[in-house]
Amino acid sequence: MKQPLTLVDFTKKYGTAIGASNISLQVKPGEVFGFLGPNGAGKTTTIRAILNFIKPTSGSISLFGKDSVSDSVAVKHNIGYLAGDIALYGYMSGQELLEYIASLGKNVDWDYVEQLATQLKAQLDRPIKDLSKGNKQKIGLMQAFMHKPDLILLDEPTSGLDPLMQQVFYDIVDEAQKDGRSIFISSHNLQEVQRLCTRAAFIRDGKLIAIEDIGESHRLNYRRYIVTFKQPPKQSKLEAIESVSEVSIYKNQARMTVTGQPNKFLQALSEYDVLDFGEEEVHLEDMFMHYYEGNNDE
Amino acid sequence: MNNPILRQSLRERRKSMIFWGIGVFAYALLVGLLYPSIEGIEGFAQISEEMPEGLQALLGEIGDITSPTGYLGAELYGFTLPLLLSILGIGYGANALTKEERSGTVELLLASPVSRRSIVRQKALAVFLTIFSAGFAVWLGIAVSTLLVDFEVSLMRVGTATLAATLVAVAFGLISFMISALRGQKGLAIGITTVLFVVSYFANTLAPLVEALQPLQNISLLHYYDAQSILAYGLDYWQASVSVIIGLLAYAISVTGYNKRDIGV
Repeated sequence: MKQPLTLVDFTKKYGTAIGASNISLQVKPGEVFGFLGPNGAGKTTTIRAILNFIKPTSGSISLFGKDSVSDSVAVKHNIGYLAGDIALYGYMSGQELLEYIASLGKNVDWDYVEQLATQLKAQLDRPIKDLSKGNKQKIGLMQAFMHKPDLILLDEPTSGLDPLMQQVFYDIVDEAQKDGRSIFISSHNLQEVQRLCTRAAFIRDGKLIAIEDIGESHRLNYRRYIVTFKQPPKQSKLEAIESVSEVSIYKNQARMTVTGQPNKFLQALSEYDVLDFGEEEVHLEDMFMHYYEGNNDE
Repeated sequence: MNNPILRQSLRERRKSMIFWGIGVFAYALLVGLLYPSIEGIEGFAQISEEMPEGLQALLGEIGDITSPTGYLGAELYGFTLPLLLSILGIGYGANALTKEERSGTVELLLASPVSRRSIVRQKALAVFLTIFSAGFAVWLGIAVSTLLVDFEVSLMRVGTATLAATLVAVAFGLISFMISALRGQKGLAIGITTVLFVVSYFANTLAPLVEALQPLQNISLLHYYDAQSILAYGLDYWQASVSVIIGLLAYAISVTGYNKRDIGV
Protein backbone atom coordinates (compact mmCIF):
# COMPACT_ATOMS: atom_id res chain seq x y z
CA MET A 1 0.00 0.00 0.00
CA LYS A 2 1.12 3.55 -0.70
CA GLN A 3 1.89 5.80 2.24
CA PRO A 4 -1.49 6.75 3.69
CA LEU A 5 -0.42 10.28 4.51
CA THR A 6 2.57 12.43 3.61
CA LEU A 7 3.01 16.09 4.42
CA VAL A 8 5.88 17.93 2.78
CA ASP A 9 6.63 21.43 4.07
CA PHE A 10 2.94 22.04 4.61
CA THR A 11 2.37 25.71 5.41
CA LYS A 12 -0.87 27.55 5.96
CA LYS A 13 -1.02 31.30 6.42
CA TYR A 14 -4.06 33.42 7.14
CA GLY A 15 -2.95 36.81 5.95
CA THR A 16 0.08 37.39 8.10
CA ALA A 17 -0.97 34.93 10.80
CA ILE A 18 0.58 31.50 10.54
CA GLY A 19 -1.63 28.48 11.08
CA ALA A 20 1.01 25.88 10.27
CA SER A 21 4.56 26.27 9.15
CA ASN A 22 6.72 23.83 7.17
CA ILE A 23 5.27 20.66 8.63
CA SER A 24 6.65 17.47 7.14
CA LEU A 25 5.65 14.03 8.34
CA GLN A 26 4.62 10.64 7.11
CA VAL A 27 2.08 8.17 8.47
CA LYS A 28 2.85 4.54 7.66
CA PRO A 29 0.32 1.82 6.86
CA GLY A 30 -1.16 0.33 10.01
CA GLU A 31 0.23 3.02 12.25
CA VAL A 32 -1.56 5.00 14.93
CA PHE A 33 0.10 8.36 14.69
CA GLY A 34 -0.42 10.99 17.36
CA PHE A 35 -0.46 14.68 16.62
CA LEU A 36 0.12 16.31 19.92
CA GLY A 37 0.05 19.96 20.80
CA PRO A 38 -1.59 22.55 23.03
CA ASN A 39 -4.83 24.20 21.94
CA GLY A 40 -4.22 26.58 19.08
CA ALA A 41 -0.99 24.87 17.99
CA GLY A 42 -2.25 24.19 14.45
CA LYS A 43 -3.58 20.65 14.81
CA THR A 44 -7.03 21.38 13.44
CA THR A 45 -5.60 23.56 10.66
CA THR A 46 -3.45 20.65 9.55
CA ILE A 47 -6.28 18.12 9.62
CA ARG A 48 -8.56 20.48 7.71
CA ALA A 49 -5.90 20.91 5.06
CA ILE A 50 -5.46 17.13 4.80
CA LEU A 51 -9.18 16.92 4.08
CA ASN A 52 -9.02 19.85 1.65
CA PHE A 53 -11.44 22.01 3.63
CA ILE A 54 -8.67 24.57 3.34
CA LYS A 55 -5.82 24.73 0.81
CA PRO A 56 -2.15 24.77 1.73
CA THR A 57 -0.45 28.13 1.20
CA SER A 58 2.66 26.18 0.22
CA GLY A 59 3.96 22.66 0.47
CA SER A 60 1.96 19.58 -0.37
CA ILE A 61 -0.13 16.90 1.23
CA SER A 62 -0.62 13.50 -0.36
CA LEU A 63 -2.94 10.68 0.60
CA PHE A 64 -2.18 7.19 -0.72
CA GLY A 65 0.10 8.90 -3.22
CA LYS A 66 -2.60 11.27 -4.45
CA ASP A 67 -2.65 15.03 -4.05
CA SER A 68 -4.99 16.31 -1.33
CA VAL A 69 -6.27 19.17 -3.49
CA SER A 70 -6.43 17.86 -7.06
CA ASP A 71 -7.49 14.31 -6.14
CA SER A 72 -9.57 15.36 -3.16
CA VAL A 73 -12.75 13.52 -4.14
CA ALA A 74 -11.11 10.24 -5.13
CA VAL A 75 -9.14 9.83 -1.92
CA LYS A 76 -12.14 10.40 0.34
CA HIS A 77 -13.59 6.98 -0.40
CA ASN A 78 -10.79 5.73 1.76
CA ILE A 79 -10.77 8.33 4.55
CA GLY A 80 -12.79 8.65 7.72
CA TYR A 81 -13.00 11.85 9.73
CA LEU A 82 -14.23 12.78 13.15
CA ALA A 83 -13.85 15.99 15.12
CA GLY A 84 -14.54 16.18 18.84
CA ASP A 85 -16.98 19.01 18.21
CA ILE A 86 -18.46 17.50 15.08
CA ALA A 87 -21.79 18.93 13.94
CA LEU A 88 -24.54 16.58 12.80
CA TYR A 89 -27.99 17.22 11.33
CA GLY A 90 -30.10 17.50 14.46
CA TYR A 91 -33.42 16.62 12.89
CA MET A 92 -32.16 13.31 11.53
CA SER A 93 -32.01 10.13 13.53
CA GLY A 94 -28.63 8.43 13.83
CA GLN A 95 -29.67 5.80 11.30
CA GLU A 96 -30.84 8.46 8.83
CA LEU A 97 -27.60 10.37 9.23
CA LEU A 98 -25.48 7.30 8.55
CA GLU A 99 -27.61 6.47 5.51
CA TYR A 100 -27.30 10.04 4.27
CA ILE A 101 -23.51 10.04 4.63
CA ALA A 102 -23.40 6.66 2.90
CA SER A 103 -25.47 8.06 0.03
CA LEU A 104 -22.75 10.67 -0.52
CA GLY A 105 -20.58 7.94 -1.98
CA LYS A 106 -19.08 5.95 0.87
CA ASN A 107 -19.11 2.21 0.48
CA VAL A 108 -20.54 1.18 3.82
CA ASP A 109 -20.33 -2.23 5.45
CA TRP A 110 -23.70 -2.29 7.27
CA ASP A 111 -22.85 -5.42 9.26
CA TYR A 112 -19.92 -3.52 10.68
CA VAL A 113 -22.23 -0.57 11.45
CA GLU A 114 -24.46 -2.89 13.42
CA GLN A 115 -21.47 -4.25 15.29
CA LEU A 116 -20.27 -0.72 16.09
CA ALA A 117 -23.73 0.28 17.27
CA THR A 118 -23.82 -2.65 19.68
CA GLN A 119 -20.28 -2.01 20.87
CA LEU A 120 -20.97 1.68 21.47
CA LYS A 121 -24.55 1.20 22.68
CA ALA A 122 -25.47 3.90 20.16
CA GLN A 123 -29.03 5.18 19.92
CA LEU A 124 -29.76 5.24 16.22
CA ASP A 125 -33.53 5.69 16.24
CA ARG A 126 -33.84 8.99 18.10
CA PRO A 127 -33.43 12.45 16.56
CA ILE A 128 -29.82 13.50 17.04
CA LYS A 129 -30.86 16.81 18.60
CA ASP A 130 -32.31 14.87 21.55
CA LEU A 131 -29.07 13.02 22.25
CA SER A 132 -26.44 13.89 24.85
CA LYS A 133 -23.00 15.05 23.75
CA GLY A 134 -21.55 11.60 24.32
CA ASN A 135 -24.30 9.89 22.36
CA LYS A 136 -23.89 12.32 19.48
CA GLN A 137 -20.20 11.58 19.48
CA LYS A 138 -20.96 7.87 19.07
CA ILE A 139 -22.83 8.63 15.85
CA GLY A 140 -19.90 10.78 14.75
CA LEU A 141 -17.55 7.91 15.49
CA MET A 142 -19.66 5.48 13.51
CA GLN A 143 -19.74 7.66 10.40
CA ALA A 144 -15.94 7.94 10.54
CA PHE A 145 -15.39 4.18 10.75
CA MET A 146 -18.40 2.70 8.91
CA HIS A 147 -16.85 2.48 5.44
CA LYS A 148 -13.71 0.84 6.87
CA PRO A 149 -11.34 3.47 5.47
CA ASP A 150 -7.61 2.85 5.37
CA LEU A 151 -6.92 6.24 6.93
CA ILE A 152 -8.93 7.68 9.78
CA LEU A 153 -8.39 11.29 10.86
CA LEU A 154 -9.51 12.06 14.38
CA ASP A 155 -9.41 15.61 15.70
CA GLU A 156 -9.58 15.61 19.51
CA PRO A 157 -12.01 12.71 19.30
CA THR A 158 -12.48 12.00 22.99
CA SER A 159 -13.37 15.51 24.09
CA GLY A 160 -16.80 15.21 25.65
CA LEU A 161 -16.67 11.44 26.11
CA ASP A 162 -16.92 10.01 29.60
CA PRO A 163 -14.09 7.70 30.75
CA LEU A 164 -16.09 4.56 30.01
CA MET A 165 -16.79 5.68 26.46
CA GLN A 166 -13.18 6.72 26.04
CA GLN A 167 -12.20 3.15 26.79
CA VAL A 168 -14.65 1.81 24.20
CA PHE A 169 -13.23 4.32 21.76
CA TYR A 170 -9.68 3.14 22.48
CA ASP A 171 -10.82 -0.43 21.82
CA ILE A 172 -12.25 0.54 18.45
CA VAL A 173 -9.03 2.29 17.51
CA ASP A 174 -7.02 -0.77 18.56
CA GLU A 175 -9.22 -3.02 16.44
CA ALA A 176 -8.91 -0.74 13.43
CA GLN A 177 -5.15 -0.82 13.82
CA LYS A 178 -5.15 -4.62 14.01
CA ASP A 179 -7.00 -4.59 10.69
CA GLY A 180 -4.10 -2.67 9.23
CA ARG A 181 -5.73 0.76 9.03
CA SER A 182 -3.80 3.92 9.74
CA ILE A 183 -5.06 6.40 12.26
CA PHE A 184 -4.00 10.00 12.62
CA ILE A 185 -5.18 11.35 15.92
CA SER A 186 -4.77 14.88 17.19
CA SER A 187 -4.84 15.47 20.91
CA HIS A 188 -3.68 17.77 23.64
CA ASN A 189 -3.64 14.84 26.03
CA LEU A 190 -0.26 13.15 26.36
CA GLN A 191 -1.61 10.16 28.25
CA GLU A 192 -4.13 9.49 25.52
CA VAL A 193 -1.46 9.63 22.84
CA GLN A 194 0.76 7.33 24.89
CA ARG A 195 -2.10 4.91 25.29
CA LEU A 196 -2.93 4.78 21.57
CA CYS A 197 -0.03 5.73 19.41
CA THR A 198 3.12 4.15 18.09
CA ARG A 199 4.61 7.47 17.06
CA ALA A 200 3.68 11.05 17.70
CA ALA A 201 4.50 14.45 16.27
CA PHE A 202 4.74 17.34 18.68
CA ILE A 203 3.53 20.65 17.40
CA ARG A 204 3.50 24.10 18.90
CA ASP A 205 2.78 27.54 17.41
CA GLY A 206 2.24 25.90 14.05
CA LYS A 207 5.69 24.33 14.01
CA LEU A 208 6.70 20.72 14.21
CA ILE A 209 9.03 20.32 17.17
CA ALA A 210 9.76 16.62 17.20
CA ILE A 211 8.53 13.25 16.06
CA GLU A 212 8.99 10.59 18.74
CA ASP A 213 8.58 6.85 18.87
CA ILE A 214 6.19 6.21 21.69
CA GLY A 215 5.26 2.56 21.56
CA GLU A 216 6.50 0.71 24.61
CA SER A 217 8.95 3.39 25.65
CA HIS A 218 8.13 5.41 28.73
CA ARG A 219 10.87 7.90 28.12
CA LEU A 220 8.31 10.62 27.59
CA ASN A 221 6.43 9.91 30.77
CA TYR A 222 5.99 13.20 32.54
CA ARG A 223 3.89 13.28 35.66
CA ARG A 224 3.36 15.58 38.61
CA TYR A 225 2.77 14.03 42.00
CA ILE A 226 1.58 15.51 45.26
CA VAL A 227 2.85 13.56 48.26
CA THR A 228 1.89 14.27 51.86
CA PHE A 229 4.45 13.05 54.43
CA LYS A 230 4.13 12.56 58.17
CA GLN A 231 7.26 14.62 58.71
CA PRO A 232 8.27 17.49 56.37
CA PRO A 233 10.81 16.00 53.92
CA LYS A 234 14.12 17.55 52.94
CA GLN A 235 14.10 19.11 49.50
CA SER A 236 17.64 18.04 48.72
CA LYS A 237 16.89 14.42 49.51
CA LEU A 238 13.89 14.35 47.20
CA GLU A 239 15.80 16.12 44.45
CA ALA A 240 18.52 13.51 44.72
CA ILE A 241 16.16 10.79 43.53
CA GLU A 242 16.86 9.86 39.95
CA SER A 243 13.89 10.88 37.69
CA VAL A 244 12.59 13.47 40.15
CA SER A 245 12.81 17.21 39.46
CA GLU A 246 10.98 20.48 40.05
CA VAL A 247 10.38 19.79 43.74
CA SER A 248 8.48 22.27 45.83
CA ILE A 249 7.68 21.73 49.51
CA TYR A 250 5.04 23.40 51.65
CA LYS A 251 4.97 22.15 55.25
CA ASN A 252 4.74 18.37 54.98
CA GLN A 253 3.47 18.31 51.40
CA ALA A 254 5.73 18.02 48.38
CA ARG A 255 4.97 18.48 44.69
CA MET A 256 7.38 17.05 42.19
CA THR A 257 7.83 16.02 38.58
CA VAL A 258 8.68 12.45 37.73
CA THR A 259 9.92 11.59 34.28
CA GLY A 260 10.62 8.23 32.68
CA GLN A 261 10.01 5.06 34.67
CA PRO A 262 8.72 5.69 38.18
CA ASN A 263 10.26 2.71 40.05
CA LYS A 264 13.24 4.60 41.51
CA PHE A 265 10.83 7.23 42.75
CA LEU A 266 8.53 4.65 44.34
CA GLN A 267 11.44 2.86 46.01
CA ALA A 268 12.64 6.12 47.53
CA LEU A 269 9.15 6.98 48.73
CA SER A 270 8.80 3.66 50.52
CA GLU A 271 11.44 4.82 52.99
CA TYR A 272 9.13 7.61 54.12
CA ASP A 273 5.95 7.61 56.13
CA VAL A 274 3.53 8.65 53.37
CA LEU A 275 0.08 9.88 54.42
CA ASP A 276 -1.33 10.70 51.01
CA PHE A 277 -0.35 10.31 47.39
CA GLY A 278 -1.96 11.85 44.33
CA GLU A 279 -1.32 12.87 40.76
CA GLU A 280 -1.67 16.42 39.57
CA GLU A 281 -2.95 17.27 36.08
CA VAL A 282 -0.08 17.92 33.72
CA HIS A 283 -0.39 20.62 31.13
CA LEU A 284 1.13 19.82 27.82
CA GLU A 285 2.85 23.19 27.84
CA ASP A 286 4.79 22.15 30.98
CA MET A 287 5.83 18.93 29.34
CA PHE A 288 6.94 20.87 26.28
CA MET A 289 8.96 23.20 28.49
CA HIS A 290 10.60 20.23 30.06
CA TYR A 291 11.60 18.37 26.92
CA TYR A 292 11.78 20.82 24.10
CA GLU A 293 12.50 24.25 25.51
CA GLY A 294 15.31 25.81 23.55
CA ASN A 295 14.95 23.34 20.69
CA ASN A 296 12.78 25.52 18.58
CA ASP A 297 13.71 29.03 19.56
CA GLU A 298 15.11 30.70 16.55
CA MET B 1 -28.94 11.30 -11.30
CA ASN B 2 -28.66 10.71 -7.60
CA ASN B 3 -28.86 13.98 -5.69
CA PRO B 4 -28.74 13.24 -1.97
CA ILE B 5 -27.74 16.78 -0.98
CA LEU B 6 -30.60 18.25 -3.02
CA ARG B 7 -33.08 15.86 -1.42
CA GLN B 8 -31.74 16.57 2.06
CA SER B 9 -31.87 20.34 1.46
CA LEU B 10 -35.47 20.22 0.26
CA ARG B 11 -36.44 17.98 3.14
CA GLU B 12 -34.92 20.44 5.57
CA ARG B 13 -36.93 23.24 3.97
CA ARG B 14 -40.12 21.25 3.73
CA LYS B 15 -41.98 23.18 6.42
CA SER B 16 -40.87 26.55 5.14
CA MET B 17 -41.82 25.56 1.59
CA ILE B 18 -45.27 24.48 2.70
CA PHE B 19 -45.87 27.77 4.54
CA TRP B 20 -44.61 29.82 1.62
CA GLY B 21 -46.71 27.75 -0.74
CA ILE B 22 -49.87 28.19 1.30
CA GLY B 23 -49.16 31.90 1.77
CA VAL B 24 -48.63 32.81 -1.87
CA PHE B 25 -51.39 30.45 -3.01
CA ALA B 26 -53.85 32.17 -0.68
CA TYR B 27 -52.67 35.60 -1.79
CA ALA B 28 -53.03 34.75 -5.48
CA LEU B 29 -56.40 33.15 -4.87
CA LEU B 30 -57.61 36.27 -3.06
CA VAL B 31 -56.40 38.53 -5.84
CA GLY B 32 -58.34 36.39 -8.30
CA LEU B 33 -61.48 36.27 -6.17
CA LEU B 34 -61.54 40.05 -5.74
CA TYR B 35 -61.50 40.72 -9.49
CA PRO B 36 -65.29 40.85 -9.94
CA SER B 37 -65.57 43.66 -7.41
CA ILE B 38 -62.94 45.73 -9.25
CA GLU B 39 -64.34 45.01 -12.68
CA GLY B 40 -67.54 46.83 -11.90
CA ILE B 41 -65.91 50.07 -10.80
CA GLU B 42 -66.28 52.64 -13.51
CA GLY B 43 -63.80 55.28 -14.37
CA PHE B 44 -60.62 53.38 -13.56
CA ALA B 45 -59.55 53.22 -17.15
CA GLN B 46 -60.19 56.92 -17.46
CA ILE B 47 -58.13 57.75 -14.38
CA SER B 48 -55.34 55.66 -15.71
CA GLU B 49 -55.37 57.43 -19.03
CA GLU B 50 -55.50 60.86 -17.51
CA MET B 51 -52.81 60.18 -14.97
CA PRO B 52 -49.70 62.33 -15.49
CA GLU B 53 -46.86 60.39 -17.10
CA GLY B 54 -44.66 60.73 -14.03
CA LEU B 55 -47.18 59.28 -11.65
CA GLN B 56 -47.96 56.50 -14.09
CA ALA B 57 -44.29 55.59 -14.27
CA LEU B 58 -43.99 55.56 -10.51
CA LEU B 59 -46.99 53.36 -9.98
CA GLY B 60 -46.03 51.17 -12.88
CA GLU B 61 -47.88 51.24 -16.12
CA ILE B 62 -51.08 49.97 -14.73
CA GLY B 63 -52.95 50.17 -17.98
CA ASP B 64 -56.60 49.27 -17.80
CA ILE B 65 -56.93 47.90 -14.33
CA THR B 66 -60.47 46.76 -14.95
CA SER B 67 -59.47 44.27 -17.65
CA PRO B 68 -58.46 40.85 -16.25
CA THR B 69 -54.87 41.07 -17.49
CA GLY B 70 -54.52 44.73 -16.51
CA TYR B 71 -55.82 43.91 -13.06
CA LEU B 72 -53.48 40.94 -12.62
CA GLY B 73 -50.51 42.93 -13.84
CA ALA B 74 -51.20 45.81 -11.47
CA GLU B 75 -52.16 43.78 -8.42
CA LEU B 76 -49.79 40.86 -8.58
CA TYR B 77 -47.43 40.40 -11.46
CA GLY B 78 -46.13 43.93 -11.94
CA PHE B 79 -44.28 44.25 -8.67
CA THR B 80 -45.65 42.14 -5.80
CA LEU B 81 -44.88 38.74 -7.29
CA PRO B 82 -41.27 39.38 -8.37
CA LEU B 83 -40.73 41.05 -4.99
CA LEU B 84 -42.15 38.13 -2.97
CA LEU B 85 -40.34 35.48 -4.96
CA SER B 86 -37.11 37.49 -4.87
CA ILE B 87 -37.33 37.79 -1.07
CA LEU B 88 -37.63 34.02 -0.95
CA GLY B 89 -34.81 33.57 -3.45
CA ILE B 90 -32.41 36.07 -1.87
CA GLY B 91 -32.99 34.65 1.60
CA TYR B 92 -32.61 31.01 0.73
CA GLY B 93 -29.89 31.74 -1.85
CA ALA B 94 -27.80 33.28 0.91
CA ASN B 95 -28.52 30.43 3.31
CA ALA B 96 -28.31 27.31 1.16
CA LEU B 97 -24.53 26.92 1.39
CA THR B 98 -23.74 29.03 4.43
CA LYS B 99 -26.13 27.39 6.87
CA GLU B 100 -24.09 24.21 6.71
CA GLU B 101 -20.94 26.26 7.22
CA ARG B 102 -22.33 28.02 10.28
CA SER B 103 -23.56 24.83 11.87
CA GLY B 104 -20.44 22.88 10.85
CA THR B 105 -22.33 20.11 9.03
CA VAL B 106 -20.52 21.12 5.84
CA GLU B 107 -17.58 19.10 7.20
CA LEU B 108 -19.62 15.93 6.75
CA LEU B 109 -20.13 16.79 3.09
CA LEU B 110 -16.55 17.86 2.46
CA ALA B 111 -15.13 14.76 4.15
CA SER B 112 -17.22 12.58 1.82
CA PRO B 113 -16.31 11.63 -1.72
CA VAL B 114 -18.44 14.36 -3.24
CA SER B 115 -16.99 17.26 -5.20
CA ARG B 116 -17.59 20.85 -4.26
CA ARG B 117 -18.95 21.38 -7.76
CA SER B 118 -21.60 18.78 -6.99
CA ILE B 119 -22.42 20.39 -3.64
CA VAL B 120 -22.90 23.77 -5.34
CA ARG B 121 -24.96 22.22 -8.15
CA GLN B 122 -27.34 20.48 -5.76
CA LYS B 123 -27.71 23.48 -3.47
CA ALA B 124 -28.36 25.81 -6.44
CA LEU B 125 -30.98 23.35 -7.70
CA ALA B 126 -32.60 23.45 -4.28
CA VAL B 127 -32.78 27.26 -4.51
CA PHE B 128 -34.28 27.02 -8.00
CA LEU B 129 -36.87 24.41 -7.02
CA THR B 130 -37.84 26.32 -3.88
CA ILE B 131 -38.61 29.48 -5.87
CA PHE B 132 -40.19 27.49 -8.66
CA SER B 133 -42.57 25.69 -6.32
CA ALA B 134 -43.67 29.00 -4.78
CA GLY B 135 -44.27 30.32 -8.30
CA PHE B 136 -46.32 27.25 -9.10
CA ALA B 137 -48.46 27.84 -5.99
CA VAL B 138 -49.20 31.36 -7.24
CA TRP B 139 -50.28 30.06 -10.62
CA LEU B 140 -52.43 27.46 -8.90
CA GLY B 141 -54.07 30.19 -6.79
CA ILE B 142 -55.06 32.12 -9.90
CA ALA B 143 -56.17 28.94 -11.63
CA VAL B 144 -58.45 28.00 -8.75
CA SER B 145 -59.90 31.52 -8.58
CA THR B 146 -60.92 31.33 -12.25
CA LEU B 147 -63.00 28.27 -11.38
CA LEU B 148 -64.76 30.05 -8.54
CA VAL B 149 -65.54 33.49 -9.97
CA ASP B 150 -65.93 35.07 -13.35
CA PHE B 151 -62.28 35.93 -14.03
CA GLU B 152 -61.34 35.32 -17.63
CA VAL B 153 -57.62 35.08 -18.11
CA SER B 154 -55.52 32.74 -20.18
CA LEU B 155 -53.96 30.35 -17.71
CA MET B 156 -51.27 29.74 -20.30
CA ARG B 157 -50.36 33.44 -20.28
CA VAL B 158 -50.60 33.60 -16.50
CA GLY B 159 -48.27 30.60 -16.37
CA THR B 160 -45.83 32.32 -18.71
CA ALA B 161 -45.86 35.48 -16.62
CA THR B 162 -45.37 33.42 -13.45
CA LEU B 163 -42.43 31.68 -15.07
CA ALA B 164 -40.91 35.02 -16.07
CA ALA B 165 -41.30 36.39 -12.52
CA THR B 166 -39.85 33.15 -11.17
CA LEU B 167 -36.83 33.49 -13.43
CA VAL B 168 -36.24 37.05 -12.21
CA ALA B 169 -36.38 35.80 -8.62
CA VAL B 170 -34.09 32.87 -9.47
CA ALA B 171 -31.58 35.32 -10.95
CA PHE B 172 -31.61 37.43 -7.76
CA GLY B 173 -31.54 34.25 -5.68
CA LEU B 174 -28.49 32.97 -7.52
CA ILE B 175 -26.71 36.32 -7.22
CA SER B 176 -27.25 36.06 -3.47
CA PHE B 177 -26.12 32.42 -3.65
CA MET B 178 -23.01 33.46 -5.57
CA ILE B 179 -21.97 36.05 -2.98
CA SER B 180 -22.48 33.51 -0.20
CA ALA B 181 -20.45 30.93 -2.16
CA LEU B 182 -17.61 33.40 -2.63
CA ARG B 183 -17.55 34.81 0.89
CA GLY B 184 -19.41 32.36 3.10
CA GLN B 185 -21.41 35.16 4.70
CA LYS B 186 -25.19 35.06 4.69
CA GLY B 187 -25.70 38.65 5.87
CA LEU B 188 -23.39 40.06 3.23
CA ALA B 189 -25.16 38.11 0.49
CA ILE B 190 -28.61 39.24 1.59
CA GLY B 191 -27.46 42.83 2.06
CA ILE B 192 -25.78 43.27 -1.31
CA THR B 193 -28.49 41.49 -3.27
CA THR B 194 -31.28 43.43 -1.56
CA VAL B 195 -29.56 46.69 -2.44
CA LEU B 196 -29.23 45.40 -5.98
CA PHE B 197 -32.95 44.65 -6.12
CA VAL B 198 -33.92 48.07 -4.74
CA VAL B 199 -31.58 49.86 -7.15
CA SER B 200 -32.95 47.72 -10.00
CA TYR B 201 -36.46 48.69 -9.04
CA PHE B 202 -35.86 52.41 -8.80
CA ALA B 203 -33.66 52.52 -11.87
CA ASN B 204 -36.42 50.84 -13.82
CA THR B 205 -39.33 52.91 -12.56
CA LEU B 206 -37.63 56.30 -12.35
CA ALA B 207 -35.62 56.10 -15.56
CA PRO B 208 -38.52 57.33 -17.71
CA LEU B 209 -38.64 60.45 -15.50
CA VAL B 210 -35.02 61.15 -14.79
CA GLU B 211 -32.83 61.26 -17.86
CA ALA B 212 -29.68 60.64 -15.85
CA LEU B 213 -31.03 57.28 -14.75
CA GLN B 214 -31.69 56.03 -18.25
CA PRO B 215 -28.34 54.23 -18.73
CA LEU B 216 -29.02 52.53 -15.40
CA GLN B 217 -32.32 51.17 -16.63
CA ASN B 218 -30.59 48.88 -19.09
CA ILE B 219 -28.66 47.14 -16.38
CA SER B 220 -31.74 46.79 -14.18
CA LEU B 221 -32.82 43.17 -14.17
CA LEU B 222 -36.43 44.24 -13.65
CA HIS B 223 -36.31 46.23 -16.88
CA TYR B 224 -36.38 42.93 -18.77
CA TYR B 225 -39.51 41.76 -17.02
CA ASP B 226 -42.65 43.41 -18.38
CA ALA B 227 -45.59 41.68 -16.76
CA GLN B 228 -48.32 43.62 -18.56
CA SER B 229 -46.89 42.82 -21.93
CA ILE B 230 -46.41 39.13 -21.10
CA LEU B 231 -49.97 38.84 -19.81
CA ALA B 232 -51.34 40.62 -22.86
CA TYR B 233 -49.09 39.37 -25.66
CA GLY B 234 -46.99 36.50 -24.33
CA LEU B 235 -43.35 36.06 -23.49
CA ASP B 236 -40.56 37.97 -25.15
CA TYR B 237 -37.90 35.26 -25.21
CA TRP B 238 -35.06 37.71 -25.56
CA GLN B 239 -36.13 39.55 -22.42
CA ALA B 240 -36.67 36.32 -20.47
CA SER B 241 -33.23 35.08 -21.48
CA VAL B 242 -31.62 38.00 -19.62
CA SER B 243 -32.68 36.48 -16.28
CA VAL B 244 -31.57 33.04 -17.41
CA ILE B 245 -28.16 34.28 -18.53
CA ILE B 246 -27.59 36.26 -15.30
CA GLY B 247 -28.64 33.20 -13.29
CA LEU B 248 -26.30 30.87 -15.18
CA LEU B 249 -23.45 33.33 -14.89
CA ALA B 250 -23.97 33.64 -11.13
CA TYR B 251 -24.07 29.85 -10.91
CA ALA B 252 -20.81 29.45 -12.85
CA ILE B 253 -19.06 31.98 -10.61
CA SER B 254 -20.45 30.19 -7.55
CA VAL B 255 -18.92 26.90 -8.66
CA THR B 256 -15.50 28.43 -9.29
CA GLY B 257 -15.54 30.54 -6.14
CA TYR B 258 -16.68 27.78 -3.83
CA ASN B 259 -14.07 25.45 -5.28
CA LYS B 260 -11.27 27.84 -4.42
CA ARG B 261 -12.37 29.02 -1.02
CA ASP B 262 -11.19 27.83 2.38
CA ILE B 263 -14.27 26.52 4.13
CA GLY B 264 -15.07 26.44 7.81
CA VAL B 265 -12.16 28.46 9.17
